Amino acid sequence: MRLPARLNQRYEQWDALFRSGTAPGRGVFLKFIGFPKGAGGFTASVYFRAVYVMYPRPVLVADPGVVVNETTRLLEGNSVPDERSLRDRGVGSIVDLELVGMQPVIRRVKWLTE
Amino acid sequence: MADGMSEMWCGLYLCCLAVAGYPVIAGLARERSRLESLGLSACMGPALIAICLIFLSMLGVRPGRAEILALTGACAAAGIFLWRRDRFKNPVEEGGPVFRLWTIVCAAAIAYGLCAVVIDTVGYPVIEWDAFAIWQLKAQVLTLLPLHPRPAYFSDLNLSYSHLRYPLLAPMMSAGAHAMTGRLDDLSKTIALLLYPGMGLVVFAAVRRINGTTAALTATALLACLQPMLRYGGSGTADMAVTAFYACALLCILRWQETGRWGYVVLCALFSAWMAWTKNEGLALAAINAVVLAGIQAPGPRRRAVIAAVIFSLIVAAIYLPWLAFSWGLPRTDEDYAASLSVHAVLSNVGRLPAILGALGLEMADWQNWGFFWLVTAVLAIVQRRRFATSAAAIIGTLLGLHLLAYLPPLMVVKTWNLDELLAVTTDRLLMHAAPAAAILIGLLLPKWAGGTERNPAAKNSRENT
Repeated sequence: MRLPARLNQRYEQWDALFRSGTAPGRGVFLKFIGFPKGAGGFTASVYFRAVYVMYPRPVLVADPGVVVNETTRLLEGNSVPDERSLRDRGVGSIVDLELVGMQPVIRRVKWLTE
Repeated sequence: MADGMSEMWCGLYLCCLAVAGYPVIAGLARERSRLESLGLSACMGPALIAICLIFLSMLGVRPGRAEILALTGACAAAGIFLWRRDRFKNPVEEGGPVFRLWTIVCAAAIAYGLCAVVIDTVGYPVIEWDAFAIWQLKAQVLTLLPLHPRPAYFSDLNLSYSHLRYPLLAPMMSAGAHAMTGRLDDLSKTIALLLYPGMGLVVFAAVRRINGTTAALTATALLACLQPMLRYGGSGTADMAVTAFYACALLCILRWQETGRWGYVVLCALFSAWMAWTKNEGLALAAINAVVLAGIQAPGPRRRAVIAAVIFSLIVAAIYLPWLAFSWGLPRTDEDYAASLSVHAVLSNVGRLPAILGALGLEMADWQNWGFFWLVTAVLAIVQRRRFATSAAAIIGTLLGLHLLAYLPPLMVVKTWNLDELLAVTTDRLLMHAAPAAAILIGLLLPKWAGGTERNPAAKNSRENT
């Protein structure tokens, strides 16, 4: 049996987190720190949720050529490209997300100036 | 959540969808009951408006209030004309004896299911994983950008997880809600408020005509409060849509077999095309419908069955063709079951079959998800096996069997997923798609002592035609 209220609460926290690390009208690059490869779909869920909540602003986790289907591929390709290319793709900040317990928290936000 | 204006626009959108389906049903489904009109219209409207919005989007026009209201206006005008023509013609059906206490129990179960889906639909934001990762993300894309020129989303490899090549009918239904409310909010899930009751009405109508009101209520109540139906019904995924369209297609097949009216073949083709436009599984189900149509003995000469199957296939192909053209060349980066399917691939993975059958069997026996639903289906099929001599039960039994078999080969050739993980997250939804067929079968097989009437209108019509 699922508990929608609890799920809802978790996603509300995540959604607020993504918004707090994003410049108005700009996208965000998410850098996952300490997210284990064996955590099932958890890391993927964080990314997928961020893409949905922030749309149409871009949420990036890898170079454009990286196929992201599940957690392993996502973490393998999760290296920060150069800032110029991020700016060109509409990104305004790089957010370092750390896993504390089973919650993603922001460790650092680097704002990219125009 | 949305403000009052958004809810008002969303309510208007649902009214538009409800109105839009009626003229198609009224024009094609003659000798229909009011319940059939209601149920089929509730499912036809959303698909009709969404497919029109998709074709407009392919021409470079993104969905908007003006387009939706104009389409609804045209449909409403046709609907009024057809309603005036038909208002005294629709047959009033005898439902047979009704057991009052059982009626109350079934009505309570149906009300429970309806309440659960309504609460999930309007009371919660999009929180189902598949909904926000795939379907509602696509809805946002379709709302903001037309399909011509093709949005960058469809070739963005970082978004491969959202299945870039998945068909777009369900997302466009939600995009229509976004277009009407003027914002990307959670009201896009409200489409379930038509599809879920529409499916229930269709199942009720299909059974009632053949085996009476008590059997129809039993089948509908069993279906309406299945846990997967409640879980996915209002969640914003495409599963509710494909399940509802499948239920409608089943009703049309039964009515074609009973009446021999071509309108039901066309309607069945339309609902099958909507299934194919909703999920890839829908294409397989459409193919099964074509095969079964070719084998059905409807009133009239034998060759009508083959002609029906050909007409059906042509209509489905014509409607599906634009999607094939649009999706040509899109990256095949996600799990592409259709492309992986070959006799060689299936045979070389035949060792997976026990695991797949075991998982499906365990899921069917999962008390929390299904209660006695599949057990009742199996027991009735065995105990009432003589009723398979009647065409309706034989047709639905064949469709259900082929439906379940059709899901085996794709699971056998899966590559990128761990099979156990895939089975764990998909079996409930796969069985949900088949649930309307099982529910109708339960209703058709319900014995007389349990409230069934065991009428057979098809046999009666057949005798009259002879």
